[in-house]
Amino acid sequence: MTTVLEQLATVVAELLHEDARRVVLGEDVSDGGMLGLTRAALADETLAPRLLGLPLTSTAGLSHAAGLAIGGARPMVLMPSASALVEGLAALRETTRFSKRYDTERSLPLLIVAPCGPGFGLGGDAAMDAVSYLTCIDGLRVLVGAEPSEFPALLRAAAAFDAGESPTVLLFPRNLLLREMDPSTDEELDDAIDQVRTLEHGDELTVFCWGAAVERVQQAAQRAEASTRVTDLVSLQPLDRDGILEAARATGRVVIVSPGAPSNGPSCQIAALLADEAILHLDAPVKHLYGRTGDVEARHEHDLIPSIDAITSTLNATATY
Amino acid sequence: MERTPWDPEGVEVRLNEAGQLADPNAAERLDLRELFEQLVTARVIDNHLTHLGLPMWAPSSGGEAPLVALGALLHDEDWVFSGGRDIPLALARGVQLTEVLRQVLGLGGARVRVQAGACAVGSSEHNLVPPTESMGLQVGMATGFAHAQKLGRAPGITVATFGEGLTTVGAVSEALAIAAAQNLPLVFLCKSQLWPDAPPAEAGIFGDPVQARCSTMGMWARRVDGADLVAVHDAFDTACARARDGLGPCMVECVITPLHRAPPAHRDPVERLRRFLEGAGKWTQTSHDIVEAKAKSKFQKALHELGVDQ
Repeated sequence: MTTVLEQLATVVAELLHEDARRVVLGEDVSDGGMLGLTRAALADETLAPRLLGLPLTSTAGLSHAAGLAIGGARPMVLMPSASALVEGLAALRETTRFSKRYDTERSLPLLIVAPCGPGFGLGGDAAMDAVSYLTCIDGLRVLVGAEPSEFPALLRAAAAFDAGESPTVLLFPRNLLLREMDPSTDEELDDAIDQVRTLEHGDELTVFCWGAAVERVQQAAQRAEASTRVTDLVSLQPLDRDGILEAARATGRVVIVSPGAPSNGPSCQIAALLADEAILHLDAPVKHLYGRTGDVEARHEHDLIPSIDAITSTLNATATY
Repeated sequence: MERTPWDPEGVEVRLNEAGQLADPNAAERLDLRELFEQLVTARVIDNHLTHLGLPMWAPSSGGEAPLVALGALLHDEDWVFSGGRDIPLALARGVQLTEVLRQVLGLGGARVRVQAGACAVGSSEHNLVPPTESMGLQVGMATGFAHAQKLGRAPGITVATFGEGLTTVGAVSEALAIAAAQNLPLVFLCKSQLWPDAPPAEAGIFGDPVQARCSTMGMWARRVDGADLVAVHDAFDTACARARDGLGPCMVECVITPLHRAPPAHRDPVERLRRFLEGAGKWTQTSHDIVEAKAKSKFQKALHELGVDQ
């Protein structure tokens, strides 16, 4: 057995071996990285020149990474926290705009990997998921993992850029990164990462969730009295509009569970989409469930994710509305 | 000639205020008549664009020499990350005047989209990247690009241009430090505006010259008189050669004088070089008029092609 983080470190080394254009940037990556994600790569000294331990601030680091991508490299930026990306929003915006403004055919193949949400007992900004900030940037692909055993495969898929995908932020919920996993279960993903994934099949109501909320939603669905369809969005930007509409119309009742603050972000986008294009198929108001709001102390950080009891209660109420 | 507040301190000079060369042989190494024509053409175009009264337009007259000199030294495989007001450099890279005007005037059909009012130009065909809308990020991108050139052993060097105000941006300081630490094939052109009465407080540019700050990073750095095309050319010649030879990044800080503030005539790079050429018997008023007329005709023809009425 190994931890998810250790397995991700193995994948980082594999990705560097696989494509000489790939380089890794981030704080201390030439010494293992803040999360240890370059420790496996350090074991091979031929990879050392592509572990670029620089620079410190998000804005400088991301603009440097964008320049590397313009120059033909495939940078992977390892951030210590998704909240650090908020400081680098201007650089992210310039990165996503570059191909259109500069009349190039392909988007910049820039991958940013960051832990998000509660899990390390940090509280404050570090416990936020930053999703509502990131999804404001037009052209930025935002992915978030939910099943720890699939994180390595998700990293491989996000790093591919074979079809000219947009610059990408890949988020991993902190509370899942230290889980143990069997390396032999590390396989390719069954579904495309730009499509909603149906984890539980049910026909009375549909739950849309992502990241750290998914596990709790699955447990709540087991307890709920209604037959619940659980879907993991995976891609928070762009949203799989067709997949969301199909899942909502299939049951006529919808609950959205956010693993973070309620403001803006995918929850609002989904609610607006349903209001626009599925309102006549719905038998109950769309219910949005989210966690604790405001500046969260470390001891309360897990309250950012709605509790299983709260989710169960909401599912039952929506099913009987 | 008596010094005035308009004369920058601590700058390298090759062609003095009277148009005399410190090293007479320098004239043989350079085609100064050709470079003079480029200066005059750039001036004519800038004046005409200024007279169009474009919103947010900032004239760049007085700052042409570094751009013309750099343009003469760059190779096709080199890349430029522009900081704005670099039209002479774009023309030297081979960008058509019609494309420049499409972008500057915000007309449809431009290949590259630039920020309105930034006096900016870009061209993917000519490796000329326009400025970012977020201040200074193009310098970080330039540093990253040069890093990719070094890692991939790609031919060519990278150039980043900007004004001295941008050096107060944190990301620019970081980019300069990274370039030095990673020994990147990068040439920085900093156009430092001359402030005879000291810079405005809000500019935040008190203290050592940019050249001195870069020197403390261990970077090869020079501070030259931006009105002196010969000194500027010499500095860039060395800087580009060093970058091509893998000797790391270079900073050339050029102290330029905006002509709209009515400085003495010798602060004008066109007038400075004209004095030399006249002394060498290579300039007449008639030849000057012809160069200006050609530039004006080129400008008007380009506007006509674009269907723009003056």
